Formats: sequence, C-alpha cells, structure tokens
Amino acid sequence: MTDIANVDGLRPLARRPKFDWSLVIFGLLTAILVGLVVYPMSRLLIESLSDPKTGSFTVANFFDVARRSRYLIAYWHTIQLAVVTVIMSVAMALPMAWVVSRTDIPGRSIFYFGTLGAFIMPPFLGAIGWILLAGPNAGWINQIWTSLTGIEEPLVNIFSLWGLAFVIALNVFPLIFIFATSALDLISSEMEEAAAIHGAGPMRTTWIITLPLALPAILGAIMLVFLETIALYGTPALIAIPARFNVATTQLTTFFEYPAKIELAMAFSVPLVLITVVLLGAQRLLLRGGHVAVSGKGGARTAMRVGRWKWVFLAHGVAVTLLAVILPAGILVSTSFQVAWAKAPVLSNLTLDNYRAILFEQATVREAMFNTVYFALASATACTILGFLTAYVVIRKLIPYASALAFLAVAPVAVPGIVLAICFYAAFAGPPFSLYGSSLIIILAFITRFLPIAFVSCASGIRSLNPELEEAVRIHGGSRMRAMVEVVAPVLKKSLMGVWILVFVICSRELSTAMFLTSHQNRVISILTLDMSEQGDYETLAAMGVVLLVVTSTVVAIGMRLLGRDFMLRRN
Amino acid sequence: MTKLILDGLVKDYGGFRAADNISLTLADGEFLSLLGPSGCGKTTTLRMIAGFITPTQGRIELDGREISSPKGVVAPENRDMSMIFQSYAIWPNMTVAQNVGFGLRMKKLPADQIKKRVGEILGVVQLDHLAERYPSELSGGQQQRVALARAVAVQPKVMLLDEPLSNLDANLREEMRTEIKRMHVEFGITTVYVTHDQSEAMAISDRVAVIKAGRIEQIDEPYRLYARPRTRFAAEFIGRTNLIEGHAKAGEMHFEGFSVPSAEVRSGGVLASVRPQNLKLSLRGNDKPERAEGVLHLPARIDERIFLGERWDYGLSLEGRAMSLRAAAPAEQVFDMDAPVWISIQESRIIPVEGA
Repeated sequence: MTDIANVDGLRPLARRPKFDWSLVIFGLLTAILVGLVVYPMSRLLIESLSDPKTGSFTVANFFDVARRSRYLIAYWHTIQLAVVTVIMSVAMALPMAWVVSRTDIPGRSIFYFGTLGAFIMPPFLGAIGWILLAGPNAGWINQIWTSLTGIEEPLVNIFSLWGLAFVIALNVFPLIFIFATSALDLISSEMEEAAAIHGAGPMRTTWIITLPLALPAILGAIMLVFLETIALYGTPALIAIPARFNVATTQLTTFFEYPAKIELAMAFSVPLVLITVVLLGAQRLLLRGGHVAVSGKGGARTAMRVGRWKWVFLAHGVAVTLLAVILPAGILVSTSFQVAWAKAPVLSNLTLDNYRAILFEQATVREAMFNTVYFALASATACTILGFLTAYVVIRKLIPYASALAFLAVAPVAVPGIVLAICFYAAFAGPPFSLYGSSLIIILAFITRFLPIAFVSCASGIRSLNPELEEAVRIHGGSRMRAMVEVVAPVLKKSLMGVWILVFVICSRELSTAMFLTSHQNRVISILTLDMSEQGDYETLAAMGVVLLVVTSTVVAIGMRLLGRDFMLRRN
Repeated sequence: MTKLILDGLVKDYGGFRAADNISLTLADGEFLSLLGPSGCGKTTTLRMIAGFITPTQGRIELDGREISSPKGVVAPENRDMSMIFQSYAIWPNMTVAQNVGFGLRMKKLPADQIKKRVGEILGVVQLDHLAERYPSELSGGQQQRVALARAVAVQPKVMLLDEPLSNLDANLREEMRTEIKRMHVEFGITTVYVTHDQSEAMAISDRVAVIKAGRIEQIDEPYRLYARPRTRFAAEFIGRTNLIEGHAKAGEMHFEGFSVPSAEVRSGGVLASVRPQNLKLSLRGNDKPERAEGVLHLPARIDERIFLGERWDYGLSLEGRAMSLRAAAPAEQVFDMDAPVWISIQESRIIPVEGA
C-alpha cells in the first residue's frame, strides 16, 4: 500500500451508524396523501349517502335529485354542450395538427403560437373577451354589423349554447392539437409512401392511412375535451347564466344558496364523477392498445406537398389563432384602456384609470391579485415537492404497497374541480378544521387537484434515471435522502422546473376548485372575474385580466427560454 | 486486515432461486472474480455484498461483524465499501472533483483534506487536469477512470465492480483492465469483480469463482481453473475444450479405443476434458509414430479446417471410431482436408471433470 491510502481517522468514522430519516418522511408523505385525497373524496360517498339530519344511511338524496326535471335538464344541456364543443374543437385543431406535422406549408410556426396562446389564455378571460366581442347588443362584432348594414338584429349572440360551445372550443382545442401532432409525428412516412406506390394520391392517403393511424390518440383527446367541458364552471357561469340555461356545473352552485344542501350537491355530482372515471378508463385503454405504428420511434418523415390547398389550410390556422387569441386578447387590452368599453376607442374615451384603480385603489382587486400569485406560488411549490417525493417512492418501491401511493396521487383526476371543491368544503370548511375562507384551504385544494400532473411528469423523469446513480451515492456513504437531494433532484432540475411552471400557470387561473371555498378574504382573480362580470364592470375587469395575462405569459416565456419551446405543450 | 465471508447465501425471487448456497471467504487484499453467463446470479451476489439486496438465507460477515442476514442488512452507506457500476453512475450534476470527493465528504473529512486527497487520487488516474469538468464533457474511458477514482478515494474495506468494462470498446477495455489491476496492486483493496468475460476474469483476478444457475461450480486460481476444471461447465466456459465420455475403473479412464491412467478419478461413468492446444498433429504416413512415455497417439483425419489468422482450428475424426475432436495448430502447420494425421496427447492433459 502507498501512503496515499492512509488518511488518519478515515475508517473509524465510517462505523457510526446514521439514522435514516427517509422512512419518517415517507410515512409522513403517506399521511399527507391520505389527508388530501382519501379524506375529502370519501366525503362524496358519505355525504351523498347519508341523511343530513340524522346522519343515517339513505339513498333518498339520489331520488331527490332524479325527481327534479330541472336537474336532469342541466345534465342534458351539459351533454349537448360537450358534444358540440368536441365537434368544434376537432374542426379547429385537426387540420392545424395535420399541417404542422405532415406538410410543407409555409408559416406553420404561427400555428404553434396560436395553440400556445389559446393554452395560456385563462378560459374566463377568453369568455369575457367574447362577451365584449359578440354580446347581442353592445358586442363589437354586432355594432360593426349594424353600422355596416343598418340591420338592428344582432349578427351573432354569444349568450347561447352554440356561443358557449364556441368559446369553450377556442380554449380546449390545444388538447386535440397536442395529441394529434404527437401521434402524427410518430407515423413513419414510409406508411404513406407505401400507399402512394400502390396508387393512392396524397389526399386519399391522408384519409385512409394517416388519420386512421392517429385515430386512437385523437379519440383519446376527444374524451379529454369532453371531460374538460362537462367539468368547466367559469365559462358557463359567465355565459350560460345570463343566457338563462343551466348546465350541470352551474346547477351545482344553486345547492349552495341558503340553506345549503350539501347532500344534494354531492348526490348531483356523483354522475359527473362516474362519467369522468369511465371516460378516463376508456381513454387509457384506447391509448394503450393503439396501433403498433404509433408506438416507438417514428421513421424518417418527408413533408407532404399540398399545392393550391395550402392557402385554405393557412387561412384556417390564421383564423383559429385570430379567434382564440388575438381578438379576445386585443379586445381585453383595448377595453382596459377605455372609459366605456362599448364606445369607440377615440382619444376622449382613453384612460389609465382602470390600471390605477386595480393597482392602487381597489383593495379587493389588489388582494385578489396578491392571493392569486401567492396561492399559485405555494401550490406549485408544494405540488412539485409532493409529486416528486411520491413519484420517487413509487418508482423505486421504497415502501411496501408503494403502488397504492401512485393510485392516491392520480386519483384526483377522476374528480372535476368543482366537485373537488365541494369535497374540500365538506371536509375542511367546518369544525374541527374550520378552514373556510382561509388561504390554506384553497392551497390544499389546488395541491390535490394538480397533484396528478406533478406526479405523472415527475414519475416519467425518475423512470428515465438509472437507479445506479442513487446506489452509487449509498455505497459511497450517502443516505437515501442525500441521494434524492444531491443527485436525483439536481439531475431532474429541468423537468421539475417544467412541472412547477405548468402548475403555477394553471393554478393562477383555476376557478372551479376555488368555488365554495372563497369568502371575501381569500378571493382570487378568477372568482373576482365572475363578480365583476355580473356587475358589468368590464373596464376594470379587463385591466385585471391584462395583468394576469402579462404575468402568465412572462412565466411561460421564462419557462420556454429555460426548458425549450415545447415544455407546455407536451402530452401527459 | 479485511476478511469478508459469504456463508450459504440464498436469494429467492418468488419461485426463482437467483443465488443458491453461495459460500466464499475473501482474504485481505484479495481480488476475486465472479464469472458466469448473464442471469447466473453473480450480480445478485454482488448486490447482496453491497447491501442492496437482503438474502433469503445465509449471512455475510465483514471483519467478524454480521452485515447481512435474512433478519436485516447494514445499509449500503454504512458498510464501508465502494462500487463501480456497469453504467459508471457518475453523477452528471457534479464535477469530476465533486464526484471523487463525495465519499470523503460523507465521512465528514475537513474540506482541505478532501481537496488534497482528491488531487492525489486524480493524479493516480491521470485526470488531474479534468478536475473541474462535468461528466458530460468526458469520454467513456475518462468517465470510467472517474468511477475508479471515486471508488478508491474512500479507501474502502471492500471494493465491488459490476461488469465495469462491458460498455467500453475493445482497446479501451484492455487499458482499463490494466488500470484496475494497477490500482489494486497500489492500494491493496479487497475486491470483488463481476464479469461474464472469462479472459477478463483470468487476466485480472487472484481467484475466480465460476457461477452457473446461482451456484458456485468451481473456485480457483485462473491457471488451475484452466488446467484442472472440476465440472463440465467450468471446462466449457473457461476457454475451448474437447469433452469425451468414458468410464473409470481402478485408477484408469477407459474411452473408446484407448485408456489413460488417472489417480484422482472415481469408478463409474466419467467425462474428461482435453484442450485443443494439447492436441499435437503430425502427418500420418506408413510409419508408426515415435513411442514416448505417457503420450497417446491416435490416428485421425482432417474433417474441417478454419484458418483464424494466428492459428489453425482443425476438426478431426478418429479412424474407426465415432469420436471427433478439435485441435489448435500453429499457422505454419497446414494440412489438407481429409489428410491422415496422428494426434499426440500427453496423457496427463486428459482431465476428468465429472461423472458422465
């Protein structure tokens, strides 16, 4: 042995056994998941099946709900709305996805911009934008129509089922775009060439080869759009309530009018949860069983040449971008600088007062903006940490029955946000927790709602990591915790940051989960939007919306800078 | 003085027995290889030594202290070992120096001492100029050196290597093998080395344990393993060989048409091994070959011939017998197909391996 090998005190030190804190932390983690997921969600079952006075078991709540035709009509409207939305969003997204993935049409990159923009645009702001654009009397499109033609009858009316479906479709079509492009990207153009060599022209090939191969992914996305639509509360509240038709989610809020009937709300929610569970299950089956051609690495792909048709497709993409992003955002920006929104933006009608009002004068708005950022920061951080720890425990099977934790972490996807809000209300609002109106209850609800997203992304990151990296830490003297803190988390830094930003952005605009949990102290921008829209205070509302859009876009821009263009539009 | 004892280790996965009654004792500073085909249980055994896997039965003892048994294992971080992984497992988020210094930091050595020692070790593996680089900027061979430096730096009682060369190309592999051996000589760390490559195991080890289906078939010094294989598997796995069946009686092995004295053989069916290198060929004319004590002469014909560049590989069939053998002959010794030859074998080179 050489003298290098002998360092004093090296060996005796190593003998001291170290306490492994990781087990304590994993135990705690399990307790947190049970508290956040099992406890509130169990309320759904318990409350819907018990008599509110005696607390004894009953199915009477379900009969009460089923007997009122108004309740049933709400569900019928919801189904109609979801079907129309699906058709509209497919019509918007599918041609764009095909163009981006398979063709040589110039200017395709604006399609990405349009999709990302629609993705970033909070649904309630899109809805406000369209109320300003296509309201039956003062809406800009109708004003221009009347001044051009002299016809008093409005051209378009956003306050209808069709209008509502249109606004929702403009917000959810990115889902179909993302799924369809990622499926189309995986289809080798050899498949298409094989069809071509056997005599099929390009359009025919697309219809009989390309689209059918991508079909499972597209169907999966359609189911997600359907679920998104039936669970949506904000947009229907802004449009369907003034239009005087009810959908399931708006009907749900009526159970909270005095005297609140939680048990009926719970019973009324059960079908919503069941539909979600069934469709999610079907979607997973569909994507798992997908065609062989869509799995694995795509082969080489050559862009298809579309000739004269390219102007049609280009116009379509531009139109969707215009309708989904540029028009609503534009009208919000211009409204935010106006004294009266329905008047022409001439100099005498321009002002900065709206911004001064929200930033310096109106405490409600300032608090709501502060709360929105605060809740989003806290929830994104907690969600990322919780998702990461859970995914680590699950993937590395660190505790017995680790897969049960995985189930807990993804279970909240089966519960629409507004139903989750009811569950949290029932679970934490009253004693012994008495969290109603607090920041904590909203943060906890947000964490639970978005835990599945954080968990799934973290899990795929950890799965890609060679476990030997962690074993190397341990055999060289580091504990499990140290492996996690010094190796796993730093190596996955980028994907963790992506998760954080994604959760931050969706928390900043989440509406339905905050419903029923807010009082005047813990309002967020999304909730305040509903109140201000009801009061017709669109100028201040627009200013607040612009601030939110600026914050969100900045965060997304930073994310894209750090993590690459596609981090928001990934499919998982 | 380090003494590592594996005593009757068993590891079951459901109905599958990955390791079956593995017992060995490593002396201080010994370099032992676990050699076997993939799935034979050698990595399972190594990971039991490391403390990543709890044995189903048996125990592991290090310096008189039990560190593994079905009741529980001392955590890997508390075993005073180090390991080189198949993927190297160099932490991509740390510099070379941070990687190498990690184990020392875990032992709470003062920073200046860590720095000094890391510098020394990196000097030994000739990486001192790359200390501040990140692993992604290094070549495969350099990464391997980092892994080696990291494993040696903590001055472990036992160093474990899990197929460390399998991801390197052929040239680098030889260089790294030499490097590992050099470090072993320099620091004298007790080492367990897992590989499926017999030439690697032979070149580097003090002793080799040949493992098949979870069991140790034979454990011996490399040359003895080659010269005196104890089982059919050991004979076939270590180099190429001819296996011939026969039966033994009264200190003699009888094969079809010839017999050989053997002191160690038991009576009954017998399987013997003779290496192709030990078959000497000469052209067979009408004359008889020179008689010599203890040398066997068998008439044969060339059935098949393959020129391998440095030598000939001949397939032979024995005249009048249903037996075929392979012989390795120098490149200059050229026989035509069907040429009649004499095969001369030293009788002592025909080794009984097991009852047939």
